[in-house]
Parts: sequence; structure tokens; C-alpha cells
Amino acid sequence: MNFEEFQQMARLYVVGALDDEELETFLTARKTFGPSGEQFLVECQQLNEAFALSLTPERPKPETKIALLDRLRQKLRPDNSGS
Amino acid sequence: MAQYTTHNDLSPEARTASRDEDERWMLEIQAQQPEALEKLYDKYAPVIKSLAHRIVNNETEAEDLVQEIYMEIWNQSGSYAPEKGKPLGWILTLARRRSIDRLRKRQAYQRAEDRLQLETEQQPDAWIFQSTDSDLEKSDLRHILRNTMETLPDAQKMAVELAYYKGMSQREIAAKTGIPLGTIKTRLELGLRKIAEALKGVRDEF
Repeated sequence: MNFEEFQQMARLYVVGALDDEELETFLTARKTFGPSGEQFLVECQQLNEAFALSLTPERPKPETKIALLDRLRQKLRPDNSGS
Repeated sequence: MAQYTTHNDLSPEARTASRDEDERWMLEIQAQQPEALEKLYDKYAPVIKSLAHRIVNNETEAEDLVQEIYMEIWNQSGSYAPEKGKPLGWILTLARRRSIDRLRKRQAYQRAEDRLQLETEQQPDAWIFQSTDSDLEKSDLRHILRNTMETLPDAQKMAVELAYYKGMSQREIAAKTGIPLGTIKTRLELGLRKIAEALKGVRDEF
């Protein structure tokens, strides 16, 4: 695989479009391209962020935050420290 | 309509400060400080809910997912490493994965697919042009994406949509649409490359 092919697969990788077999091929190639490959992957992550940030934000209901913080408090209780 | 300030609505200097703030909060979460998770929630929960909602197509499930995703951020924070990327990227990857998992498990998956197909056939631009919020105009990123998507042929848009928001692989998209795998690969590659090229100009700004 040359670097251009790696770049094509990297874009598909960050949006999760690679099939299992392709994923295996990509991950093997990823090791061979070293820092330049990793740098390109970091750049590709921008795609991932861009799709999410392009949506209009929707504020969750206040109850959602209350429930989350309650779960967190439960989790942090000393008797739950092992969970 | 409520006004939200999201990361990409900020100036370049403010975005840098925002990233630093995110990294600090992630480190505090790793140190089991719940206040940091609350701050991260206040900042990004609206973005995460919109992504979850877009994927599962159900507001109640999206609310539930927001809670699950933040608990997972807390539980998995140890696997976040600043050298591998920004906190927001890590958070959104986690949020998308969790939402797609939920979508796949849901019995109504087929119904959602049918709805998506209908939406795509009737309103090919609906996924990106759904808002009239004036805030959109302030966002460089959203503006660039909207413009870029306008230039993509509908077939490329649909392929990108099915991959990103429905978590389908190239083979799954080909099977679902009845379009040859090679054609799907080409459409996805071309679509993603165009979007990536368009984003290069703002690479360091969000």
C-alpha cells in the first residue's frame, strides 16, 4: 500500500466505513507509515469532529444532568469505590 | 431560540484556550474530580445530544445516551491521551460509537433506516441544511461544511451520510442500496476527500 492509498483508507477509517478485512489491512499498514501516518490520522479526525459540530446543538433536559450527577455521586460513594 | 456558544463559534485564540481547558478537565476527570465532568457536560452536552439524536433518530434515547456517554467518559478517561488528539475528538468518537451501538441494538433499526431512506430521497440535503439558526452563520466550520456539501453530488452525500451517521461499512452500504461495492467506495472516497480538502483551511482553528 502506498501513502496515497493509506490516506484514502484513513478517511474511511475515521468515519468507520472500513469492512473488517479492510480494517485489518489498514491497521497493518498503519504500523508501517509511522509518525507521518499517525499525523495524517490526527488530521483525519477533523472529519469526525466536523460532522458532529455541523449539527445544530440541542440542549439536553435539565433532568438528564441531574440524573448523571446523581449516578456519579453514587459511584463515588466509598462503598462503591470498587465498582 | 436558545443561543449556544460551541467550540467552533470561537475566535482562533479562544479555540486554543478552549482546547487547553478541555485537556485540563480531562486530566481532572482522570484524577476523579466530578466537577470537571460537570464542566465538560455544560460545554459539550448540546453537541453530543445533537449527534446522538441524529444517529438514533429518537429524542428520548438521545437524552439517555447523553447520560451514558458522560458516564463512559468518566469510566474510560484513563484511555484518553493528549498526544493522540484533542479531547473533543476523543469524546465525539466515543459518543458516535455508543450511539451507533444503540441504534444497532434497537428493534426499530429497520424503521429508522426506512425513515432515513425516505428523508434522503425526499430531502437529500436535510442532514446538513436542517437548521435556520442564525448561529449557524457565525460558525466557520458549519458554513464551510454546508458549502462543501452543496457541491457534493447527492449520491456521494448519501454514502457519507450512511457511513457516518448510520455506522455502515462500505459493504453494508452497497448491500443496502443495491449499488455495486466499487461504486460505493468511489463515492465515499470522493466525498470524504472533498470535505477533508475543504476543512484544511480551518485545520488549526477548531
